[in-house]
Amino acid sequence: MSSEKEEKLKIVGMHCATCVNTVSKAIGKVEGVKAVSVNLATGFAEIKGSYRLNSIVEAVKRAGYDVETKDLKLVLKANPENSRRIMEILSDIPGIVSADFNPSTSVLNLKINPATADQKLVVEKLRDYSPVEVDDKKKGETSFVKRELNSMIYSLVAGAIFTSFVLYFQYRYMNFLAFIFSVPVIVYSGRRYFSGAYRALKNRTADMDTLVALSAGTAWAYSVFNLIRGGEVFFDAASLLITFVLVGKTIDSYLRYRISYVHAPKYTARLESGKIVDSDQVSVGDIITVKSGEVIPVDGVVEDGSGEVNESILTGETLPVKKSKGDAVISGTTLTNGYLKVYTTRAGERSYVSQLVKAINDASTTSIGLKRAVDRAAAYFTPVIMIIAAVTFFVWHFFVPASLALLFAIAVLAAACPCALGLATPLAVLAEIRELSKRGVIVRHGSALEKLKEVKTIIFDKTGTITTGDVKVEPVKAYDENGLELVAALESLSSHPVARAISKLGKKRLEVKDFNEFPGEGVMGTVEGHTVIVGKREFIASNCEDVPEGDIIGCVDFKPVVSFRVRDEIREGVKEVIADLKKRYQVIIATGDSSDFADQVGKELGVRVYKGLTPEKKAELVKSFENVMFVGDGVNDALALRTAFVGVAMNTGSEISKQAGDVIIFAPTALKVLWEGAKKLEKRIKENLIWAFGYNSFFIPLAAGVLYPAIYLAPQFAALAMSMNSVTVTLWSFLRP
Amino acid sequence: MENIDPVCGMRVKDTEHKVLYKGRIYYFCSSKCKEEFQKDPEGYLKSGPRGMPS
Repeated sequence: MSSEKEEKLKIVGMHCATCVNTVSKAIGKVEGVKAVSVNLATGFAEIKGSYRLNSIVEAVKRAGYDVETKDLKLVLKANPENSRRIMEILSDIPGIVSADFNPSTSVLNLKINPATADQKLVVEKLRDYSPVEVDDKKKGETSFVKRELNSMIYSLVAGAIFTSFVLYFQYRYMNFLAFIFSVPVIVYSGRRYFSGAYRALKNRTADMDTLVALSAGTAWAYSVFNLIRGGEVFFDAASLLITFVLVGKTIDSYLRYRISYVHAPKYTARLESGKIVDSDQVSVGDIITVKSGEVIPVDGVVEDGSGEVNESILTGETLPVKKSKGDAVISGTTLTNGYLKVYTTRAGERSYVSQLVKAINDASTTSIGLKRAVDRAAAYFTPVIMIIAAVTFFVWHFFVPASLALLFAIAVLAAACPCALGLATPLAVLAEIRELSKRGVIVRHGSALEKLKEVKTIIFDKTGTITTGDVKVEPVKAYDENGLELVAALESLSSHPVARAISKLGKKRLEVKDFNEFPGEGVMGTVEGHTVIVGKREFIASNCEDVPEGDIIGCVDFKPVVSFRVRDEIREGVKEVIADLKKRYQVIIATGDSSDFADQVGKELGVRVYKGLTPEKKAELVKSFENVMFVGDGVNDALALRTAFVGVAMNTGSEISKQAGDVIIFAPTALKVLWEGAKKLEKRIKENLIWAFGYNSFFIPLAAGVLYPAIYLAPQFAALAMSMNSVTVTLWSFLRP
Repeated sequence: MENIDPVCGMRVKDTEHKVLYKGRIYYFCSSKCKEEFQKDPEGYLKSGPRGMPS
């Protein structure tokens, strides 16, 4: 919750006084809102109170409107345990709608209100805290991370070379030379920890940098003091500590750089002429040839030839699918046998596989409840460790020489690893999102995986979701041939599955003017000078005379000329999935279709059907139940998808619905995979957290000397264990089965 | 293009809230007005706007 503020938001989609009422009411109900005034003319809402901006945006969206927001992508260098602090800073900046920081990729995704915040302001505020870089598409997403990695490697190499000199001289008791060679290790190789600690101090916090700086700094300063006074020196421990921390952190950065970003695969394509080019050089309309065993480099339609294609990248299904002339093929799938000539419809950045990679890289991973709790714990972790270190010194100095007591305290500081705590959740989510993508499930918002547990009702769209969408239409009886041509021509402009099926019945290409679509009802337009209307019975009844039998009717100049019965098939496996889901959830079908077929489907699946719904009614139905998962594919499902607790869009559906969904699946059968993934994620997070806590509770007492003199953990080896722990968490997240 | 909402009488642009009735397109300010109209299209067209439905 933030302090009292006033925000101005641009509401999209209001066109009347009723809208103003609805929006005002929706905003007024949000917790913490004191006053709201909505202006229809300007489209702005002014809101006073102490509220979360994101709740306002959500409320407006649930009411069926939208808010103008701008997406901002920043790359910032921050230790994972500081996620919470970053969120706090962001919540103090006006105009931040939502923030999502992923410490494993260093990417901060922001949604801002352009009316009160801009990029400059946000970057300036954050700069006080951490180095920030605006993500520049031209430079590539990883440039910042890569530079960071390079600078770490330089630090490590320099650290290793100078440290070996330090060891050589110190073990020959040439302490002054050991001191000289330790200076570059501390000043150059260790600079990132000292400057990080300084920055943390300035912000009145403490993190991993503080611990490393404090442990190495204390060991070094105490040695310098003893060098002058004449006593034991630990230049070796101080230098090795920095070097060992760098070893682990460099490996960790490298792994995360390699693993966290999915790189768009590069394919080569063979043009018809035999010339081989990169797949992004292929243009729409080019014919390319694919031989057995090759990956299909573009999206397109088979022009000639036949073969079997492994589409597991798309569906998770490894059984190959037969493809021949006229079938669609997707980039990234493999031709297991045969030979294909493919007419390109999408290539390069617009191809399916590039879009998939983009969706995975943009997926948000950190807005997870458990993570917030862990972040809170991580914030207290470092101060607690500093207290333990002080107590360790205090207790030991009664029993052993002060210098050894100090080494115990330094070892405690060096052994503690707060970053494993900070990384445990986001890495697990990232790994699970990656794995689900291999099984044909694209998770766009990591939080959806967590929300799955709370889902109570599942509402399915029918056409294209429960059914194949491969609609069969049959004219009811003899019809006017010319009339059918006009109707088919009009339907060719609509993307609805039924319209597509009707448009295929036409043989001529006729020009359509003044096309108008009434979603969920029908279409109207002028074809060859005639007014043509096609749609559902009720729609036609209010526009044409003498409505005949049939599910869909076409009129020319207000007289029915043809009517159709619509038949569609239930997708394979859907029956089993629904039977299974019914055991745990309330399952409902919501469809725009008002024909008897809708009832038939409901009967066959044993599910209640709400039929003949407009897009708004579908959304209202979603609102009337608690914690609804909505599964749909069409333009008419977008509103319901956005309104739902969890929105699941079908991959075969419209772009608009995919944008509205939290998760994208290929078929309802993949819902099982989604639930499995959520369960596995929970297990992964728990394992990572147990590991992180377990590590700390094992090594910190050891470093504090509880088993001394049987086991003694020198500070440098404590540091090595600490830095390797982050590596282990990263590797475990990605490599475990 | 500006149109008159036949239910509440407001000026509205081409919106998604529209109804095709007897071959003519009517635009509405909201889904509420649209539903009101669909209950009694003839009545609204004959007697004119009756104001915002409550």
